[in-house]
Amino acid sequence: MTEESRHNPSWLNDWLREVLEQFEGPLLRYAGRITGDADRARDVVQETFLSLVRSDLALQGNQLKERLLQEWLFKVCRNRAIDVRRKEKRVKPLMDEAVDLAASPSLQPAQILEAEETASQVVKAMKKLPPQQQEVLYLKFQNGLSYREIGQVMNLTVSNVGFLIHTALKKVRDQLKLGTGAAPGSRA
Amino acid sequence: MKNDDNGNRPKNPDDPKLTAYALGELPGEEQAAFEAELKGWEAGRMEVEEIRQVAAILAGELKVEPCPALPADSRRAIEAGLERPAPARKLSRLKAIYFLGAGLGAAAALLIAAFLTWPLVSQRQKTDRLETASLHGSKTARAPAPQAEAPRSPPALEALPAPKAPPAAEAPAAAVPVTTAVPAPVAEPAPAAKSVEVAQVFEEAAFEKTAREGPQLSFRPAVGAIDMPSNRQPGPQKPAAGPDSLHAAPPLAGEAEKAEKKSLALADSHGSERWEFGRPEDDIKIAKEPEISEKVLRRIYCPPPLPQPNTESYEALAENPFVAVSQDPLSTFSIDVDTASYANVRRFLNQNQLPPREAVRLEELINYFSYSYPTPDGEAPFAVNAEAAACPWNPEHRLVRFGIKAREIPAGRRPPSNLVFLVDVSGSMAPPNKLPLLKSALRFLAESLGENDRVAIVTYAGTSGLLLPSTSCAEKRPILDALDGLQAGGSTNGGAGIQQAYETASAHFVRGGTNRVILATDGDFNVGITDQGELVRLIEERARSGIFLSVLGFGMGNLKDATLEKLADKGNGHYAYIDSLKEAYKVLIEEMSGTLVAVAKDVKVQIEFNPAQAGFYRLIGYENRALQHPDFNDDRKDAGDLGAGHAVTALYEIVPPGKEIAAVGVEALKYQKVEKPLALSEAARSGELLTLKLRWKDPEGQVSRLLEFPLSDQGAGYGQASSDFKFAAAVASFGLLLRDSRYKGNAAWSAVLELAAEGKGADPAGQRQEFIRLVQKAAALARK
Repeated sequence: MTEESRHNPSWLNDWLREVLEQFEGPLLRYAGRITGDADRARDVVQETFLSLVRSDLALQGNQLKERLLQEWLFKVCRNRAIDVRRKEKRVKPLMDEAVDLAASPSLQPAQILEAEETASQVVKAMKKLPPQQQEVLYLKFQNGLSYREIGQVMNLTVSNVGFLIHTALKKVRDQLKLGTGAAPGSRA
Repeated sequence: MKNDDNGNRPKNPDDPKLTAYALGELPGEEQAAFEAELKGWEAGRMEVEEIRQVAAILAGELKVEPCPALPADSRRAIEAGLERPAPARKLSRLKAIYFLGAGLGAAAALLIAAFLTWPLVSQRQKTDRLETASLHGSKTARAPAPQAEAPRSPPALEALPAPKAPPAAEAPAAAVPVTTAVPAPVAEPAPAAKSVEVAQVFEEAAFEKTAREGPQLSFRPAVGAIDMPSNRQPGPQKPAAGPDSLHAAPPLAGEAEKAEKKSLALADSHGSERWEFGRPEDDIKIAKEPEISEKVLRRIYCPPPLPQPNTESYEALAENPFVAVSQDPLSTFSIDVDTASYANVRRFLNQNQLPPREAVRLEELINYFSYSYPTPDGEAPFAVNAEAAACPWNPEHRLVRFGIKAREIPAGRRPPSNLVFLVDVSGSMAPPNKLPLLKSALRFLAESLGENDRVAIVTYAGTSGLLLPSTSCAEKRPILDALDGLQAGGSTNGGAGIQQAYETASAHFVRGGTNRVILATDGDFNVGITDQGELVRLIEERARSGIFLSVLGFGMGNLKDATLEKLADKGNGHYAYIDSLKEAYKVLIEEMSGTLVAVAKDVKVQIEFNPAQAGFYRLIGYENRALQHPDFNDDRKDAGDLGAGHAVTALYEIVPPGKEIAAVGVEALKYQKVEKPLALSEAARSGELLTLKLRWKDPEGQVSRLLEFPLSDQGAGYGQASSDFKFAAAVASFGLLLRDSRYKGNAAWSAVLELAAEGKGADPAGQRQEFIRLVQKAAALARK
């Protein structure tokens, strides 16, 4: 290293490690749903993190509010994943096709089968939703984003998001009721 | 029951606002206003309840979906992205490097790329101009903030210029191993277009006096733009896509954040439908800057693989043997609603290990699951449900199942709570399945509590401290912030922290409410001699004065299961083992009204068997809940509590009269004849198999009440048993196999699976399916 090497403050490396630990998994899950492919998901997520380290967000380090970081990461990841899908031309853009978003792309075939068999009512109900509704549910309930953040990530208004979540939840609820003959959550 | 208020606008049960309210997404005044509306709208309240339930189920399910991981070389590539040459003070120097780098390797690629991506670049430049234009517009609004920020982050000042230029040189190099699937055009704008952007932006930055503003101005993701022109999204278009992408990224504090929101509002007003209530700015709830450092924030828990357990300790317990009814017709025990053993067993199996025998407590396995026992409607706080059928693992024996179901408390009528979280923050709590998971769990609980509830946090780790004084849950922010600030470090001295926790609970004691210390730990009392006897006495004394103790166990390696259970027992509380967010949901949220609210105290069970109908009996589980027979009527003797909505299940294996049992040998008596005829009462001819007696006290009472239920065995075959019965039997035989019990009879893994499948029923929460999966795992492990 030349004398110009930056001595990365150790907090930066630590910070990056923490960010990776915290978001690598969720982003891979999310990207996998959009690209439908584990390898591409990995590339997308790797690119996302590379963007992060090159951006000025990295300089904020610990000062950066976690929720803003999360929103940023998901947004970048989503856009990249959609780009990848587009370029692949294997599938039509997200909104136009009913992609099986509930399938986890990282599983081996045998595991997928097992997962299918043990998939709960909830997951089955979610699979029946149109892709946009599935996506908002995943963002809200799997990744904990707020309406506003989801709006930012998916480029929708907060109203839109609220309506989608409302509709999606209702459908899932109805599916659950159909399945069990009882309201969800009650000890049937 | 209630009528809607007349004269109010019609209430639409399909109003998205209900969902927004239910999920806590309404801004402040909206929420209060809507809540007022709900007061007169019962259907609406029920909707909200249901929405919350589905939301909880969804979250519980989805959050524990396993996460993939990035391969090592990806991680390396990312970390390599951090290493770059130091920021040069002189811009020209950097520019030189940049041009050099660009010229050296990337020239040819750049040419081709530029050619290919020209349309993209020109598009982006348009966006850029838009962005920079609006930037300048809002710059003034942001100016004040950076001054305040600058002193707080000196590294940023220095490091600022670095990221921009070198990545141009880096990108091709870094891009090569990375971009297999990400096709050239996406990665490519980096060198080509970026060269334009970077230089341009860079120059702008040079003119800024305060470097703090620099990051915001020059923010561009290195590869690709955040916001490609919005033709990707049908639906509401935001023509000013630029400001959005900018605002999405940098952290803006205070006034800067307001500027961000203003721009969002502008963007939103461009023709898209507005959120009916409140302006988009209001969606952002500004957190007041917490006083404590926000270093480790809430983690999303993805179950990672964990190392082997090694310092766990369990009490070895002999199993209840078969007892001859002629010798001892009474069976007495205290109820138990703890479920930790199931979660623990699950943890082992999920790590492809069979659990140690002593970790398997059959009653806790059985009680983990929900059964459809009818709720009480009379005066008693619980209802009893009993069933008898053939015993699956010993077809000549009978199996009797009792269910005791406690009264539910509707959420709105839950008594106020005064909770003190006593959190172990020792170094051993650092791994993600301990303190971070605990924080998530407590966060859920805190978020579910209301204005009638108070929460305090006491930590213990060397120095015990009051991290958060008792705070009303009307304001969740301070509580959540305090939880965020929890970090692991130091060694544990459990004693002092507990005293402080009790004192805090005392100081805010709520009459008629739930006063409880919730101890969350991995069971390690490391430093200092903590005399367990003394600890137990303190806990008992406080329990008598109305402050109960519940225990949440986390993690492994240091889990002292026996200790934790005993403490919860003495504290009149429950012990649960939390191994996942889903479990945290189950224990803290779904069962919250139960975990926190006792409906009956000191609940004891005594069963008298009729020798005319039963030769031997064996209580399955509850070994460490056994009571002496006289204890049943002795109100001074403690027993377990029943929380609202909780259910307790007990199974007895009964040997009909006249049958011998192989394994049981009773020594011949010396002073009495072996075969002496029993003197039976009239009642014995009733055909009743047994009489179940229950004693309990009201939560605030001191004198016990008694209920008696006789049970006759109708001789039902196994096929006529309910699915709950079958499932409970499956769980019991599972436990017997895991313990390799001498009483397991014909139990076999395949039989367990069959029973479970037959008994699975509706299984709305997927618990039973999960059980089936665990049995399969155990069977596979056992075969090795």
